[in-house]
Order: sequence, then C-alpha cells, then structure tokens
Amino acid sequence: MEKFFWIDKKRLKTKTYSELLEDLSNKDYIFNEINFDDPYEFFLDIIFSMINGLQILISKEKNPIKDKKSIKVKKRTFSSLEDVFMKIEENKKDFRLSMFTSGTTGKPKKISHSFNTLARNLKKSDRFSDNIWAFAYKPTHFAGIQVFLQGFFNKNSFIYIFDSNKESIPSILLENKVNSISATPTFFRFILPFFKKENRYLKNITLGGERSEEQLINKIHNIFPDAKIRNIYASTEAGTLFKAEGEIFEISENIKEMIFFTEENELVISKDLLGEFGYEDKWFFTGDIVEKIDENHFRFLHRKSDIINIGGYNVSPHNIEKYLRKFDEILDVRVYGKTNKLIGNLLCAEIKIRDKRMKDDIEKDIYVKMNRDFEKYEIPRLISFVDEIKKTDTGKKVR
Amino acid sequence: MKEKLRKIINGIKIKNGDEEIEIIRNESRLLEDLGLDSIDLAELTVKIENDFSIDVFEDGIVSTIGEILERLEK
Repeated sequence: MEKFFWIDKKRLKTKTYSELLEDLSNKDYIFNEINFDDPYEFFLDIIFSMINGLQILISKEKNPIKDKKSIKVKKRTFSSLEDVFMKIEENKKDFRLSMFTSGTTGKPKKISHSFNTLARNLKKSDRFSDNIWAFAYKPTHFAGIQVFLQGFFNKNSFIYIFDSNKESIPSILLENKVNSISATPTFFRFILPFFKKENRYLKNITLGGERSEEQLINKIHNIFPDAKIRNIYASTEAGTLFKAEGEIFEISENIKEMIFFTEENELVISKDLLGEFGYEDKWFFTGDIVEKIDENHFRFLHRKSDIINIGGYNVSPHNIEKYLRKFDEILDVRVYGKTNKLIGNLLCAEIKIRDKRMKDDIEKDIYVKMNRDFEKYEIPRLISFVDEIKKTDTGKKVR
Repeated sequence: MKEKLRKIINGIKIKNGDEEIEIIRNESRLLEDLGLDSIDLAELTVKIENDFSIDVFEDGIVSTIGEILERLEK
C-alpha cells in the first residue's frame, strides 16, 4: 500500500506521497502571503516555496495584508520525493518564511526565518522513517511548522487532529497506528479525559509552547506507557533550542557557546541562533528566568517580561491595552493573566470608563471589534469595570 | 441550576459572536454539541466558580452538561 502523506478526516482529505508530488508538479504560482483554511494547502505552499527559494509571509489570521500578490513560477515535474529534496537543497538559501510574534514592548514583530533556523533541530534518519504523526498544532504555530519539517523530510505520514472532535481522537490515533505526537500541554489536558484505555502504539510525545506540570506528565504516562515524553523549548524568535525529559532541559554542545545566563538567571541567546528581525545587538534577552541545575542543565521558572501564555500562545498585554485605549469611552485599562488550570492563564482586563452606566454597551462593542481584529486567545475573556486601575508603587500596572 | 448554566454559556457564545443556545440537555457535550473550545471552557470554569463557589474541573475535565450539574449538586 502506498504511503500516506496527509490525512484530514474533518475536511475529507487524504493524500499519498504520489499525490503530493502530482500537486507540486501542477503548481505554478503562490501568494506572497499564506494562511490556512486548509492545512494541506498551507503545507503544500511551504514545500513549494522551499523548492523555489521564495519568500513568503504567514499572515495574522484577522489582519491579512492588503497587497497580497501572486508569484508565478515555472512548473517543474517531480517524479520522486528525492527530486523535491534536491531542489530544496539547491534553493533553500533564498527561502524565507516570515511570521508575526507578540513583541515584548507592544508592537508585533515580523520575524523572517531562513531554512537553517527552521530546520536547526531537524533529524533525518532511517530510524524515523516509520513515524506516523498526529498533527496537533495550529499549522501557523511555529512549533507546528517544525513538526511538519521533521516529519516531511523523513517521509512520514501526518494525521491532522488539531481541530478534530476531541472525543474521536483516541480512535483516530489507534486506527492510524499513530506513534508520534507533538502538542501543547493544553491540547493534552483536553484530550486525555477521552482516553478510556491505554494506547501502546504511541512511542514519542513532545510537549511544547508552555510549561507542563508534573501531574499532566504522569497522566500522559499512564495512558501512553510506552511513550518517551520530552519537553521542548522553542520561541518564534529562535526556533527549537532545548529539549528535556521531564522538567530538566539540557544545553547541547552545539549551542553551548551561543547562550548564557544573566546574574538573575535570565536566558540570553546569541543573535546567530535567531531568525532575522532587524535585531541589532549581539545577544537576545529571552525574558525566561531559569534555575540552573549544573553547567549543562536547567529548569524554567517563569517569565521576566509581561508576556502571558494562553494555552501555548504568547500574548503581549501591552498590545491589547494599546488597542483598548483607542476606544473613546475608555480612560484606562489593565490587561493581565489569571492563572487557570486548563489553559495556563485566562486573559482578563480591568477597564475604567467615563460613564459606568454604559458598561454593557461598551463591553459589547469591545467584543465585536476585537473578534474582528484579534485572534481569540488575544481577547480578554473577563472584563471588569473599575473605578481605578491598580498600580505598583513605581506607577507600573500590576499584572 | 441548568437554566443558570445555559445563561453563563450563552454569555460566552455572545462574546464570540456565536448564536445563543436555546436548549441544553444533560447529555449535551460541551465541545462538540455546544461548540465551546478550550478558552471558552477556561472562562466557564471561572464563571461557575464565581456563581457556585465550586471548581467543577477540580478532578479533571468534564465533558457534558450532566457531569457539571452532578458536580454542582454534590
């Protein structure tokens, strides 16, 4: 039987590797800005731009740029995946994939990744050739793209489950004999209750995007007793940097010289490890505070900056505050994260308005506009209308 | 109690710009039938805790309206 490349039950789409080659051979244009209505098409675009050494941007879903242009490329016929890999090797130096990240100071940054930053941790080997992935990230999530590249270059099969009915996931994994899955801890918190019995097919589990608690790791282990569980540290700025079994991350030899820790134990990484985003200094301060175990090992403690992690997605409260302050009726606003067992943090806002009698109308207006302009995880879910916004002694907002 | 729960869920639905739910049944599944996602469920836990002083997700995620009511009535 021919090997499957992509199975997406929700969209009734299955593609074998031959069909992928056929689609690549028939393709002769791409838009300079891509998004994912159909995850298969999204990844087809990424492969196509690697093959042709193109520069493309993953747009913010709610804010696509207006000057979307199509790039025409001469058709090429591919008879094998090796042909595809060869072309990628030839043109990868020109390939750039840009995306937005929530800036620490308020402005979303556009970051441009070369093939080398995206594929830094990619491992190609015969021992990975039988991997069958459950694809559990939003395709536009940085970690999702990395999982995709790892699987694609090892000619693996992908079963797309990111937006599958959660109840059906245990049987999807079994039916397709899925042995590898990479997902956020939040994704696991939501699917685990639907597993009524052990699954021994799963061998590799990678958790990333946010901190995972020991209790969750234990639960995962009980359901997937044969799986090796790894944590991964990656950022949109730098890509995958560290891996861990349990909570302890290891600094590998190849990047040892390119990172250091400040006196207050903030992780600092060299510009050489980053994508390109006009960052001028040699070192990038990540805002992640760690606890050092020994020279080569550490554990993440918390974030230094104000960035709030909502179920694996980073949100800058400053961005949201800046947006809300533009409303005529709003005098002041504080956006903060409230600790939540299910998704890590729930985004909340305290708002001071001119006339409290208007609060219901203002709240309605906020949601109509924010639903139009923001991703769901960037929208405060609990809004309280207050007389004064809490400030610290130095005048900074309490978060 | 079920009516109060329906109102809380509809509050969440309205925020998302979704249609309100007219009837909820014990067997209604939060994700599949009521169309809630992880962020909605996180909000739901906080709202229920505010109104009923009970953390319904304390022993893990519940998947139906009936399971929530069961924990509230304990």
